Amino acid sequence: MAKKGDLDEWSWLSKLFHWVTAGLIFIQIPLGFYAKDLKLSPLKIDMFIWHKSIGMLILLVVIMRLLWRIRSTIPLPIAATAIEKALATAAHAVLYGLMLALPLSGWLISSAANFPVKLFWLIPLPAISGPDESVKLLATEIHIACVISLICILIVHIGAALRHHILLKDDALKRMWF
Amino acid sequence: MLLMKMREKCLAILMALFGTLIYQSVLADSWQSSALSSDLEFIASYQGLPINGRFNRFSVAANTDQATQLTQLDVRVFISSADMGSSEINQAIQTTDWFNSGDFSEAIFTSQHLETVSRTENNAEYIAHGELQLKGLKNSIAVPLSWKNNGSDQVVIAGELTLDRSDFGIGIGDWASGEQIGLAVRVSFAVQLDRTNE
Repeated sequence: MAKKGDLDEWSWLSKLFHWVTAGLIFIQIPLGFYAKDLKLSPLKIDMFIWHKSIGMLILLVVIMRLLWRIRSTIPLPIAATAIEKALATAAHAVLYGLMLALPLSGWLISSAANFPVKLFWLIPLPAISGPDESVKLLATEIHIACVISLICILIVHIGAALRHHILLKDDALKRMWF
Repeated sequence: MLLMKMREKCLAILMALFGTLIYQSVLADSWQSSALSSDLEFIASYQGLPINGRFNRFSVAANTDQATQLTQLDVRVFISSADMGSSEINQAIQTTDWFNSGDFSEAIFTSQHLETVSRTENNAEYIAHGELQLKGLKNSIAVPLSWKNNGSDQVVIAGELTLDRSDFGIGIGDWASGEQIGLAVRVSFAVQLDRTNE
């Protein structure tokens, strides 16, 4: 497990993982909402190939990030009270959970909808389900519930970072920057 | 006396005619597909990856002569029965850009010439040359098929061929380029035919 050492800041690899996932998620969410409302056209299909490609990239990065987090030493949480600490830990756990659940449920939608896909027009993505309408509908519900939860928790996450940076004037944000 | 002979002759000719008709209808057979034991499938491609589809409703009628040589093959396919394993794709392929099943509900293949490639007592290979009418467009196609006796009153015909969807205007407008959705579509069938002589 991750050791909570008295490091001042995150390791450069942790920072890289954090900002790469952040950047990809900020492209991915609007892309998903944009693509789903397009009428069926080659453009829509291209946008979904991007969405699926970025989603699988996020899944890969998040898995590597979790493995790194488990094996590395991470700084102690900056939190004044035990309840703040517990909330922060829970929020981060939910963030990781959603970052896994979103690409996995998306992968399931794509497979159950019988849409084969080559990620970045190069790598064929294997199907994790046969064509199945009810699986597709269930996975879609999960995907939507997860993205709404992710948006909410990202607002809290960014809000908390800004609160630490601007109001509390501590190092919470700075120690995640390079 | 003369009158009697005339009547007898007429009767004899009539009986001979009937006999020939009966004889022919026994030996020249018609065959009809059995919906439960038949498959008509196609493989389209998307990003070069295969997507499978099938037609759930279609019928095949065939005729053979006295020597059970295939002489005629007719196929009707109900386009709205196309199933590609996804409600989204299934709806999309029925639209005007694709099959336009609202205006063209059936595809029809009619053989014009049956070429025998090889033939033994129970098995044969043919090439059915004929015309395929699909989405209102007619094109000559050649359908290679095997014919296997499955018992005296049952045969299975099977084969596969590749069609170019652009020959039939399937996937027009933005879809016309084969870049995303390939132009070549592999079609395969395995159809059980039952003898239907009255």
